[in-house]
Amino acid sequence: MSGILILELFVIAFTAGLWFYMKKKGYKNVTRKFIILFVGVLLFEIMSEPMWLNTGFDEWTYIYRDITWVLTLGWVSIFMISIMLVNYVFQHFPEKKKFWLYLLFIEAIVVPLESGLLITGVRGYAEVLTSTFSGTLIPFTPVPLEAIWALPLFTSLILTFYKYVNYLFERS
Amino acid sequence: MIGLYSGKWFLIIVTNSFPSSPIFPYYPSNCKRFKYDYINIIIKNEVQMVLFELSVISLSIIFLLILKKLDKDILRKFGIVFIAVLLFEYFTQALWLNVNLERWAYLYLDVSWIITLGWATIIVVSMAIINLYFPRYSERSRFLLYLIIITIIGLVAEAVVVNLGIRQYSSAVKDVLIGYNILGGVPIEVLYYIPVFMALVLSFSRYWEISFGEPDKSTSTKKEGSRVNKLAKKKTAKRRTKK
Repeated sequence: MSGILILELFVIAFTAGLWFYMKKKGYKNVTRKFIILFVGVLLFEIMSEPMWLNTGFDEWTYIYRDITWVLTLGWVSIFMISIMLVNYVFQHFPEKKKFWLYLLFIEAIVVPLESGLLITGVRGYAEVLTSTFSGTLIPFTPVPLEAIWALPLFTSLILTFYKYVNYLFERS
Repeated sequence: MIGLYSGKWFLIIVTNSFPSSPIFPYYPSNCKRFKYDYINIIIKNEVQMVLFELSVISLSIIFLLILKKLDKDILRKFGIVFIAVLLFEYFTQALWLNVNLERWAYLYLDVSWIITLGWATIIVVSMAIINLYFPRYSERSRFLLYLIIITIIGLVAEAVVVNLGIRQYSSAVKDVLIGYNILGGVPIEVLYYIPVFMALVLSFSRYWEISFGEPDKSTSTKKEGSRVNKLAKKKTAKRRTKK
């Protein structure tokens, strides 16, 4: 079994496990929440597709050009775990404060994972993007320094999409 | 007159080396006349850009002044939308090229606050129109209406900036395009890109508007909401026992 297949199966199993856990713990509308997050991430991935390179995945994982639904699932799990952790640890915090903590948690999870993907070579950046990099990396990682502020920027758009669409459903 | 546009002096100096300059594809019979026309084109473009920038700024101010009479929170809403658009533009700046604008119009690389201002105005005005004419519609229906009207206005605005030579697309984006253009040079894919971009920007702005207006209740999930309510109930119970 190749390394990439193990990664793909792990991401799928992890997301499924998270879904079951949330169902078991009594979270409401779990499937809907997963779908909204999936759509939010996917919209952003399609929009910014020329900037990233996801190579080496199995053919069945690709949706459009080099966008893979497995990585989208991975992002969904990262978002969901961060939201759950913040809601659990800082449950008494107001929504406005929790929002910044979501971003912080996502950043803390994503940087090591992105680092791993870059080392394995399945993740890369297109020339249009690398041409704007300063060339400085986050210490002990191959991740560009720009990721530190770029990550919260795009995750804030996806997070608010998730929160707002959820709110739309809950109001109806 | 040329001195006013000092930013373009370099180009004018280049034309002084005419007719040996490789910029020109052919040698016209009257070199002086040709050089004069070329300088005129530069000035014309420069004036066009200044006019465009001033139009965007003045239209934004006018619309904001009008909307201020209808909505006292319009400046806050505008600020949130401006930040949302800027976040998106900053993040995807490698994909789009905003060229030929004045130096003062740029914030970072080719991210221009004039373009951001234009988008923010389109969004805020569209939302205000929908809210004004369809106040009884549900939030969800209005959200879809926002998307439709912004896509229509945004498409026209995109055609304006493309035809003025301000908006260009990076090679990475061109590789993805199917090559079918509408409204004189706007890729057909814009019909997809604008609603997607707007869905994210509108969600961001509505989320923060609601967060500022109705903290905790509206943006929390049912489970979170119930937790907050429980905590609030506990606090009030404690206060009562203290009394």
